[in-house]
Amino acid sequence: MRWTDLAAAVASIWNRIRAVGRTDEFQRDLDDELSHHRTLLTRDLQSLGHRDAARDAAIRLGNRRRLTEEAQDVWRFHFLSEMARDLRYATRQLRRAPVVSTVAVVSLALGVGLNASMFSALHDVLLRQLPVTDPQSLRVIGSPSADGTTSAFLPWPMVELIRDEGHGLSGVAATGDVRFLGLDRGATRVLTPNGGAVVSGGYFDVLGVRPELGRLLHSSDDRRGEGARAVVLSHDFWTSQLGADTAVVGRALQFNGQAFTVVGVTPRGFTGVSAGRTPDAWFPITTDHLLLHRSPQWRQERTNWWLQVFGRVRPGVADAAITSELTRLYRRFQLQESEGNVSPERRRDIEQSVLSVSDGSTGMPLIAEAYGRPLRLLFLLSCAVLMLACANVASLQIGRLHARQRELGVRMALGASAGRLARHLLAEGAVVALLGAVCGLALQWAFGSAARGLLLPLAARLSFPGGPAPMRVVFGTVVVLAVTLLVAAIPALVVRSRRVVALLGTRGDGAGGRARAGRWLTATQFALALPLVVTSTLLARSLIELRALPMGFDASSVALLRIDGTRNDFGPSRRVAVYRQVMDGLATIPGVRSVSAAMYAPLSGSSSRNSYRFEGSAEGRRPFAVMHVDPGYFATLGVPLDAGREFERSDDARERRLAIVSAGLARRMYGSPGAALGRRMARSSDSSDPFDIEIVGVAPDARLLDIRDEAPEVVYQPFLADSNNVGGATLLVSLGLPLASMTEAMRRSVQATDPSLEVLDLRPLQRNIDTALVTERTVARLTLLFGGLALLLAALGLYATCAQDVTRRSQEFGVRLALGASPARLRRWILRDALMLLALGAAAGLPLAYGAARAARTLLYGHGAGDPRSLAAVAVLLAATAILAVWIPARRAARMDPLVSLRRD
Amino acid sequence: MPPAERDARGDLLRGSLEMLILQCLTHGTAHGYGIAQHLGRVSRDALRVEEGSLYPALQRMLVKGFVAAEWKTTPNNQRARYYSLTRLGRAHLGAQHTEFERFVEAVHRVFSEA
Repeated sequence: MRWTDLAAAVASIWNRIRAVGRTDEFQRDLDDELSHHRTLLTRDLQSLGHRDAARDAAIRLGNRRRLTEEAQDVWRFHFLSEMARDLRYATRQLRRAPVVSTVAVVSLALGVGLNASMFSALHDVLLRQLPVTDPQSLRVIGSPSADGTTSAFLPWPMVELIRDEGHGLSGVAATGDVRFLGLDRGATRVLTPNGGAVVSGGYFDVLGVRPELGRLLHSSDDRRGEGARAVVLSHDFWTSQLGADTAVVGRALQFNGQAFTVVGVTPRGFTGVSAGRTPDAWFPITTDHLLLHRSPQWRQERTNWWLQVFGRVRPGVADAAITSELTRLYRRFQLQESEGNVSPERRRDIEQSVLSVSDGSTGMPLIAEAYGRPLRLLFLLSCAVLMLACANVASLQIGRLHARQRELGVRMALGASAGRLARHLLAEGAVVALLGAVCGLALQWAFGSAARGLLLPLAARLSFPGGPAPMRVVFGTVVVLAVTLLVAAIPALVVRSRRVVALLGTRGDGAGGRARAGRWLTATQFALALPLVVTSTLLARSLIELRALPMGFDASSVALLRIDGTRNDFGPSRRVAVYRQVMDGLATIPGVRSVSAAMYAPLSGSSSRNSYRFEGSAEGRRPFAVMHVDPGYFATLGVPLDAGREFERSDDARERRLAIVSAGLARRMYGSPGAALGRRMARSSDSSDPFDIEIVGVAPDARLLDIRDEAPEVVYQPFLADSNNVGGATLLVSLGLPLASMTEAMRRSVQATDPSLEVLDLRPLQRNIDTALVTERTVARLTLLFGGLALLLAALGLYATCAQDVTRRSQEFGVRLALGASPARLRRWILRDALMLLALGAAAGLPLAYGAARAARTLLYGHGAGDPRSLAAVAVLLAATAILAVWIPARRAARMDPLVSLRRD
Repeated sequence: MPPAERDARGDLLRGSLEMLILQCLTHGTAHGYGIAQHLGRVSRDALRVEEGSLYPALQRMLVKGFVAAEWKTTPNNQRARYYSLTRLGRAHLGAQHTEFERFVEAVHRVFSEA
């Protein structure tokens, strides 16, 4: 192409754009020009001797109208004006069939809206990059475990080791949860909504965050010791609790009874390193014992595994190199920890342990690992629903082709090519698709957070920053385009096929391209519906099982109270005494059966971990989950011990240290629950230190920690006995009367015991169970919704196709009936046809269904993915839907009067 | 001129009309009628441009940027549009002309094949 041609092309586009809307002006110009031409022509003709020069000139000029039009035509955007005409026509057509159009648009809107909602949830949890400098070079340090998760909690000395001796990472930081963070305001303490975090000094430096106000924490805050009580506030917390006061830097605030000085505020949009949870405040790690009520030495102990660690990779260093370096340090650390007393199995375990780095651009993997799988499953299912809706709409469009046969035939006779007709239909499909998609996106945008709250109660535990993310916008655009293509292209393609073109204008019957396309689409809809229905059925059964999940303890009548005496000026022993008084006070209320206490409530998501060695066991010291409980804990939960006894208050006075272990742990260490009684444990790794903890009781298996773990290995330690370890406490109260009637009495009792003590939270234990299961239940509910929608859409599609089929073949049926076929036989024939279509579609959808069932298996309780009863239910459900869908058209066919249908034109 | 003759010649014109108009404009600005007259005169009446082809061709070249137009008022108080050649038009003309010459030479060679 010559450069002149290129320049001409550019110029023609630019000039045409400039000409838009100036048609009248151009018309006038051309008229003037032609008048001028005529004047001159007339003059010349006259001078040549023409008698009626003016008339001759006019004749010569010819049809001025046509001339003008042709000249003006040059300035139009043909493509655009034709498309505009197509769109106008399409809109008119749609208005002529309002019901079908509305159904199409609504089903698309629902499909798109659901899809976009699922994607946005998925994006927030799994894909959203941390709003920090260069998130791609961040790495999370963790230990890969058997189920594919890689989160790890490390002790502080290990973090220091990595920080000091790890060369592959240019910076390392650690963060620990402060779950209950109370801001004291005068006489009241308000629990902050999101809790806080203690972080090592490098936290903000590694992330590369700049403060909004003041400064952030640095490494110097690590070393400053107790004197430095700096706190950095989150932007949201500063705005909501402190009124965005710009003079907040330097202000003294009291958290959990301790005085801190505000040194800065993080920028808006900084959400910490965990998706879904932004701490309200960050504290230096040196203050952990103040906020979490433990001794200052607790952090230094190598047995407390509580920190999440991340770092930034040095440019040019490979992940594998860092992993091997960290693993070397990790193994050395573990060997040192159990120095001298390492069993062969333990040594083997240590030598196989790995500390690795994984991508940290989306932050800590905890939330992503917990919710990633269900969210991905839901997203894929919503895609299937969307495709179903598209197939439905496309088949509706194709169906309407039949009704417009004559009109299309006339168009063709008037000169429209098949391509032109295809463009017409494309325009129609595009209008429907665009309307539906845009409505869907609008729905999602308008009700996004509300829908998320309704559909995803797990969002209630997590909070996400709102606002558009570029990825979500891209996704929305892609969805709209894809939907448009699918919905609009299929009918257009059908029309282009020559067979159909030949049939247009005729009465058309038999297996035309159009009819076949309709059948294929219906089969596709069933293929897509199958995985949805299968997953729904499986999860519905799970729901039923979940309701009756055996917890191992009686949650129905237990209430939880959270109290915190740390803000009052109690020393630790006074605090314990007050707590005991409160418990005694509660026990006197009529209706209260028993009262106990624990550091954390069952299924609260919080627990401690400590390392122990067991006498007589070949295993060396290793970490176990620990629950700190008071006497009567198991009795209050309605759980009789398998062996031995509970802690007693009289144990406090004795010097012996006691423990209760779970049956699972006892079985593992000693073979049976009873065998563990009387055995001893040790916390210290020094083999010369005696086993000084006696096992006095064995608790039965119960889902107290993780609802999925029915036989956890737990060590129970006395709670209030060690006053140095006591901060806040959760009281468990077993009630004989409904909770609602007891709330007041309980609060008053606490007030009466100590007016300054507040009840921070009062809830039934059942709520903890519900919260723990909320993911499964939500997923189950959503898949049920999807499955129901899928069935409905597939049924509608089948109904429409069948109805059109019957109409189309009414002549054929008339002939059959006239030749003696019984109406019942005709009906059966149609039903059989529909069922065959269903079987075909279902067979095609089997691989999808298998994949979906496997993906959902982690969410299933009580039965596997291949449960025969569920599959049978699915088959029955689909068959019933198909029969129901074609019942009416089949009946209509059977009721036909052959005389009428034979005469139909 | 008899109509039949005119039609035969009209076919030849259609493809090269733009080129001829541009060439005409190298001599200076002109309005539509003037261009038609000029072409007729110079070709000694061999080329007669129909108004129905002239003005659409002029519009096409206007859109593509080969010519520019200016409105002036004639002594008779009529508005008249005067066209002039742009630099792009001049370049286009040169290229078209070269191509046309090559074509003519090729045809000539075919016919002078002994």
